[in-house]
Amino acid sequence: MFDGRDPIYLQIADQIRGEILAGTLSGQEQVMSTTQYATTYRINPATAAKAFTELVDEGLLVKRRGVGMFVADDARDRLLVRRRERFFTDVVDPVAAEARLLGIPVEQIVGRLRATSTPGPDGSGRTAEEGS
Amino acid sequence: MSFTVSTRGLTVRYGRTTALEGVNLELAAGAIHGLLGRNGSGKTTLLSTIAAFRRPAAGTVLVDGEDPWENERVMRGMCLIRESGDVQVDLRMRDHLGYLADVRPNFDGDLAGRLMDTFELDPKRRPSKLSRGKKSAFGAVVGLASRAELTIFDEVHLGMDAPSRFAFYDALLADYIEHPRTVVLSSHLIDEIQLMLERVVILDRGRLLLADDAETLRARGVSVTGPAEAVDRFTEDRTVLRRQQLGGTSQVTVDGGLSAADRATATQLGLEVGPIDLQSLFVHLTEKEVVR
Amino acid sequence: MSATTASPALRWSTVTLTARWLLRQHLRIALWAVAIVLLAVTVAVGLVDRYGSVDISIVQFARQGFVWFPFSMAIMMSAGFLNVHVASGLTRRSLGWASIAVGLGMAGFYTVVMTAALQLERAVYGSRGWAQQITDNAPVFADTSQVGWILVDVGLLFASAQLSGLLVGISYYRLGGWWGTLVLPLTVGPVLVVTPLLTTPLLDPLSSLARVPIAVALLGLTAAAYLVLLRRSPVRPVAT
Repeated sequence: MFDGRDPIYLQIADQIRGEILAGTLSGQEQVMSTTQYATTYRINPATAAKAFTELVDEGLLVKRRGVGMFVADDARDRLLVRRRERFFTDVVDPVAAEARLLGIPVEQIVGRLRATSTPGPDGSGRTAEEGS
Repeated sequence: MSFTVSTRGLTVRYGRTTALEGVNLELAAGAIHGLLGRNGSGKTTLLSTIAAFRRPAAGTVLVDGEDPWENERVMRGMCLIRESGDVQVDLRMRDHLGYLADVRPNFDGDLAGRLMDTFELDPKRRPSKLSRGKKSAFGAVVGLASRAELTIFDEVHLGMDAPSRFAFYDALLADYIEHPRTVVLSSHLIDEIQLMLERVVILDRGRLLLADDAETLRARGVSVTGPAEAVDRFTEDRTVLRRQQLGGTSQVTVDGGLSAADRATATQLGLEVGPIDLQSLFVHLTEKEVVR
Repeated sequence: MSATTASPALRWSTVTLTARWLLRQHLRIALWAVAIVLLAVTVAVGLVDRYGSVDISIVQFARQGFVWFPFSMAIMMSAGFLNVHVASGLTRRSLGWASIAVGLGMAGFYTVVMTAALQLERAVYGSRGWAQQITDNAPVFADTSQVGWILVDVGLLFASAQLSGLLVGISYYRLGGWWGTLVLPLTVGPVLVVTPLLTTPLLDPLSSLARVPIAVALLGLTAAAYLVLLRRSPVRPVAT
């Protein structure tokens, strides 16, 4: 369930972020409480709580007193903005480095990107349809 | 309500053998602590001394700020379950639970009943007639239902099969969340319990080896694999716990964690970095041979 | 913080709770024992009457039974119960006082039973014209009408059995098999000594009555020794 690479609370937080991004968890939906998380995955509740605190600080989760933890309305949007900001540094730059290492010319990469992208309704090459 | 535990220079002897030497330890209230150590490292002695089962030869132990020895208030807030628990073996289990209901102020009979069901224990039977695993399960019931402010399980899992053990962990977590208390788990099955722990204490040969957050320890051990020369260069001024070499490739277990920058460096050198789980870290830290 | 503990106090004192518990265990077995002894006595009297003539008290022989059986019960209860008691969050001090209280209480119980049985026997024998001789060595009372002396003699003996049992139990627990056996003369001594004490010529200028305080002091010493050994006793590791 959890591997040893990153601290457990980070893995939990990442998992929830992933679910928000993928749409599995939608805005206003209730998340498992720290108690439920702890007892379901058999982890220390303090660890689960730490993950939730981080997500609340990022504005992705909201705590409603006496009711529980909910996904913020704009959670997905926030995540998209963050991920988009980091897309070039975290994803594109490593690709460029690897391409350099392997001696792959940029044109081939661009060509591949074009081929895998589906044309949008206006004919522009947007990859994997997203609303904005 | 939870008790803190604090020891200073704790030394315990059995005749001429020194089981614990100069142990300085703090156990925070309300957390689940794991106590790890090889056989003979002094775990049981430490727990017995904290629970006022025996007196130290030197040093102090304080529970909830007071010396627990013959201290009525503190003692009724402590519950040490050793293996199958110190229960009245020739009495029906329900009678022993009735006894505990009188003498343990926080005892929860309903919880005890539910747990007896969970572990498939017949209250009309006597512990002396039970298998090892069932005796241990009864010990777990006693430890959980007593709701003591300091609850210690010393290898209570012995003899319990895997389903029973996991039932115990589940019951422990659920009740701990609802009624927070200080819990100490001593176990050799580190893999099974490590995610439940908030703090970890490791004893080695009667001395305190380390006490730290579980999360920190999970990140502390790192394995570095790659061409032997590159690995050696990378781990030059680090604490190496273990080295394995096969041909030109070597794998090294390093103590002390790696920063993000370190990881980047490693990747650039063509080295593979991997996590070391708590159990492996424990084995490496307490092995007899020292690498460097 | 620490002193603001919300831990509820117990409804009864720990000594009372422990004494109540121990008493229940003791009484349950004691009632069985008494029933068996009385049955045996009745059968014995019947047999003696059938095959011979009844001219001595049979109940008097129950004396030894009411000494050594409770003695062994006291050993089990003291040594055997220490682990459970401390593990259940109670102090050795409370166990000590509770054990002594229960021991004396049970001694009183057996004393009353024995005395009443002797009186009952006297009545039965009397109606049949049998003599109720006391032949057991060195009893303080010559015949069973001396109820006061019966109570004192039997009472001291049974009390010494209980207290000595506690002492033997804790000796074995703390000192182990070897040393526990070695000190048996000291730990069982009180039981063997307390009755002869009342009649021995060695203390001759003193009347039996005057020796009772000495016997009581001996019992006090036994109880004190038990408490001292118990006070610092560690809880032994579980036998695997």
